Order: sequence, then structure tokens, then C-alpha cells
Amino acid sequence: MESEPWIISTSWLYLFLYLPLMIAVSMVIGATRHEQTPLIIRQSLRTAVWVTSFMLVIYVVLQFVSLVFV
Amino acid sequence: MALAEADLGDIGLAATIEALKPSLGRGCTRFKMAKKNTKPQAKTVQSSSAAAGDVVMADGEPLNLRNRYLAAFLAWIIPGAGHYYQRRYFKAAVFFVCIISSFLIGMLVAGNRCVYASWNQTEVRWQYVLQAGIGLPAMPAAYQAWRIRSNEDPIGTFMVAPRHTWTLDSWHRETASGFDMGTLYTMIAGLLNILAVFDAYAGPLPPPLPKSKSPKKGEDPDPESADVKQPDAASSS
Repeated sequence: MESEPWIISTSWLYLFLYLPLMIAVSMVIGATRHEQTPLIIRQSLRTAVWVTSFMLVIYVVLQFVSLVFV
Repeated sequence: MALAEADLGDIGLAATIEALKPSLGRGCTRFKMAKKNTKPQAKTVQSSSAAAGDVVMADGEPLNLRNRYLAAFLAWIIPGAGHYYQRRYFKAAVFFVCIISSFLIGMLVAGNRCVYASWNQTEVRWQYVLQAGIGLPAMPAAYQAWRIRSNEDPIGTFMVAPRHTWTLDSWHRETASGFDMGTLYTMIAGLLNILAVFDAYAGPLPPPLPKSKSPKKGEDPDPESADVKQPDAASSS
């Protein structure tokens, strides 16, 4: 049985499930930090970028482990 | 207004109400509540600020939370309702749209099966504890579970827990990963609403203070970081 080199082996379409969740989470977190609309938007963008970056780092680490050690 | 002031017969109270008016917006109801308090001055001024609602500082401006307990309850029942009651309309819209859409997307990808309450041998559905954070939208599941527990037939199949483990297995099989994704979405929606409830109760959570360098002797501390501090003294009074 040939092993799949990439972690995301099912379908890239599954990644689209991340988008609405990220928008909702970052907007709600932004809204619970500030009262003024521009500050809410700015905080939301910052949260979205931070969480996405964090997830990307985790993905790269797992992919590295998968390619090298498995 | 002049008549109300005359009724109050208390210059201190009238001055307090005048000071609170900008943060009250159309504060007619609040003003009527303050009008009832016609006791001695010290108590009256205190009760007038309570009647006006709890005022906290948010982004450097006073924010009137009105009746914070009622607002928190409304925020739990329907996401955004508590903020609407507090006249924080933009935040009400943000909470309602984001939280409800997350919940609905979760239900959609799981085929309307991922929200149910069950605490028996078939499954201990601890996820429902988090899903219930969204309030009213998750309540049918509790009602259906209560009917089953009372040996009554559930109403329809909406939010009904699986009777057997093989039923649960078939749900997983039919929806592929949709069941787990839906469970995740609805759990997160409930958790987000709990954040919204806290926001309705106590106002926005101040962001963490940046690590400021210790000021040198004779130098003022960073004025920006000083602005970030949001005193909550007004709410405690």
C-alpha cells in the first residue's frame, strides 16, 4: 500500500471549512476585546493572522515529521 | 425634564442624571426609574447611578451596561440579544451572525444530527454541555432528552439522541467527517456565545498590557499604555 506523502490527503476542499470558523472566531474575539468598530475589525484581523500562522507552523512541523520519520 | 427635576427635589440627583444622560442615549425609561428614588440625598445619588445601569470604561469611553444580569441572560438565550438590549447594535449583529452561522453550518455538515443530549449507556454526550452555551437554539435537544427520559416518544427526529450505538455508527458513516466537523462547529458556537455573555455582563475584556520598558528617572511612563488601563471602579460602585 503506497503511503500518501502529504498530510492533507483527503481533499483540499476540506480546508474551506476553516474559513467560516476562522471568521466567526476572530470576529467574536475582536468584539469581546473592544467596543469601537475599527478597533474590533483590527483586533479580528490580528487574531485571524495569529491563529492562521500558528496553524501553519503546526502543519509544517507535522508534515516534516511525517516525511522524515514515518 | 423641568417637571421631573422639580419632582425629584434633589439638585444632586438632577446633576447626576444630567451627567449620565449622554451615555444613556434615549434614557426615558431610566429617567423614570431614577424618579422613583426620592429618599435622602446620599442614598438617592447612589441609587440613581444604579438605576442608570452599570457604567464601565471601554476603549476610553463610558459604556452603560444597563441591567447587566438581564443582558447576560438575554445574551445566553439568543446570541446578540443582550447587546441589542444594551444598545450595542454593531456587536449584537456581529455576535448574532457569527455565532448563529457557525451553529447552522455545523448542523448542515452533520445532517442535523450533531446536537443532542444523551447521558446514558449508549453515549455520554459531554459535547452538549458546550453546545448548550448557545442557549435557545440548542434547547430542543434538552427537551427531547427529557421526553425520552420520561419514557415518552420524542417529537419527530430533530435533535434526538441515537437509541443504539449502531445508529450512531451509521451517522458517522453516512456523513463521513461531517458529523465530527458539525460537532466541532456547534461546540465552538456555544463557547463563543459564552464569551459574548461575559461581554454583555462586564463589558469588553481589556487587551493585555504591552510590556513597557521601565521608565528612567524623571521620565513619564508610556502614556499609551496608561490609556489602555480601563478602570472598572465605576461598575463596583
